[in-house]
Amino acid sequence: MTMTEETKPTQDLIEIRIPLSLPCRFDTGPIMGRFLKGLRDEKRIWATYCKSCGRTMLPPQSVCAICNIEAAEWIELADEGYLTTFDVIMIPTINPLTGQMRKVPYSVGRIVLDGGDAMIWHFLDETDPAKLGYGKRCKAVWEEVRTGRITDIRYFHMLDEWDKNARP
Amino acid sequence: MHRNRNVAIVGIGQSKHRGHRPDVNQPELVYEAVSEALADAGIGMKDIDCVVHGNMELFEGIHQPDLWHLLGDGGRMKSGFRITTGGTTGATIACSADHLAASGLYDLVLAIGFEKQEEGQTTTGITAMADPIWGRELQTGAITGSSGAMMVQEFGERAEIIAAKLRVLAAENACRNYKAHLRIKITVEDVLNSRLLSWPLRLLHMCPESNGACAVIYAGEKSAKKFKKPVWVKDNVTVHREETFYFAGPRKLESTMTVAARKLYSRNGIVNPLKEIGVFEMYDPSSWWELEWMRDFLFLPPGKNLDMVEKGDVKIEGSFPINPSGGVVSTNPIGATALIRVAEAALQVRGEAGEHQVPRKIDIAMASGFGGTLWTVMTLLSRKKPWVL
Repeated sequence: MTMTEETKPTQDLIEIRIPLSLPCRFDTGPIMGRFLKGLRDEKRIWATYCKSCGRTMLPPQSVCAICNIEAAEWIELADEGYLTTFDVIMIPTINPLTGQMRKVPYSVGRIVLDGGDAMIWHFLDETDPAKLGYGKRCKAVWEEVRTGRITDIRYFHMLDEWDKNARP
Repeated sequence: MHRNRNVAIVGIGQSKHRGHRPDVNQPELVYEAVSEALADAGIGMKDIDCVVHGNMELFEGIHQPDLWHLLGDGGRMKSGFRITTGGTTGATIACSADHLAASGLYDLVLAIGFEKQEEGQTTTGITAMADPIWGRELQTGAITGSSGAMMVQEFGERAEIIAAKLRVLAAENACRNYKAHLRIKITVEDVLNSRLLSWPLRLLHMCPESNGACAVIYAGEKSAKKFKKPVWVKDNVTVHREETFYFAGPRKLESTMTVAARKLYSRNGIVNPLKEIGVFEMYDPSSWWELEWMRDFLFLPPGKNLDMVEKGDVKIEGSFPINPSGGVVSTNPIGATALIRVAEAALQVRGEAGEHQVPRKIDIAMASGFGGTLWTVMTLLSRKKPWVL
């Protein structure tokens, strides 16, 4: 393997390093707010659903973008389901919410929760790709102290069983 | 679809794309591409009516760089538009410049995409694109192995070898393109032994962080005829959506690549893209995605994408060349990346791509852009004036 050609400076060039810090405050709005309140106060996962096409939506949304109609109905989903796609991340990157480097490996997956067809995106407690796969069952592990964040669910615990109805 | 008038690409310029460019600041980098495009067209900045400029929002920590770049892009006292649609920025710049020229409001439109990635934090920037309440905690920039994992599940180890082979082909092409960033000599083993980012995605599968700029000049029909080799814009298609990862799960949604390609083919009477399109410059953020999207863009039966790579069909000398330039896995100054696809496709139609020129006449060339929540923008270019108006 050879390294690629670089552009050589012809004079001593000055480089200035400035770390940016952007303090932000995000308003969640009534729909996401209700979902987050469910996590914090009830340890329950609420999704919206579309009466026209029947899909459940996570993150919960007030409009179904496919049918382009208001979707203000709520449905409770289970805190367990089956894994679809997943990532086992081996490269450390910065978490822009904290500015800290993430510890690796860690895994994330998209999980179809029982009771609907919506997928929640969350951390998994298994980082061996051979032990992950489409249709593997998993269950939420909740934080004791919850603050109304998606991380009120600490991660999804992978179970040693497969969902009978999951089709990749 | 209705066009007021035909539009052609009449000038093309690119900086040399490199991993390290401490010798220039951002406007100076942009100037390299702009001056080359003007020289290529044989015109001066005074002839340009309008500048369309874009990059990834905040990648270099600068808001509205289009204002600061006026020294490099020549847009002072001219109309200017800023485009920033994530990875598709360059493709959207191409559409916008085409539309502005087609409208008749402007005659010569300069399209510029740039990125100086070494000045910011690319992966942090992309991660910050995610909803801060929902996905930002979880997203790792554009790094995902999930589509590769699905392909390994379907085709086993063969998929891993073929994705690596596709990466080697891209490197071979990049070695024939002196503007490409990663011009490396690698083997399938090098790819398979490179650092794991997210199984089965490895370092060599993934696009680099490049510094570079691309400039393309679009002209309305009457003016375009005065230039030596106008490359005509046949069509553009943009397909957006809001859901990111719904290609799996019980309610599968069609990919934006499939929807965009179907629209593009049906609007332009293309029945067999493999026969009717001479070259395809695809936005390939990783070799895994390139392999997967070949199927989506070209409506291939299962496994045909793997066969095509295995047989060498996608090589520069093959029956359906993909990314003779070396593609995005070789060169990725993000805001310029999708515009480079259009520029490279236009060079192929002209027959002026140099060492990486496809060795036959190209009548129709296709380019794609990718970004955001997995959305797609496509452009179709033509050697002949496409529409009778």
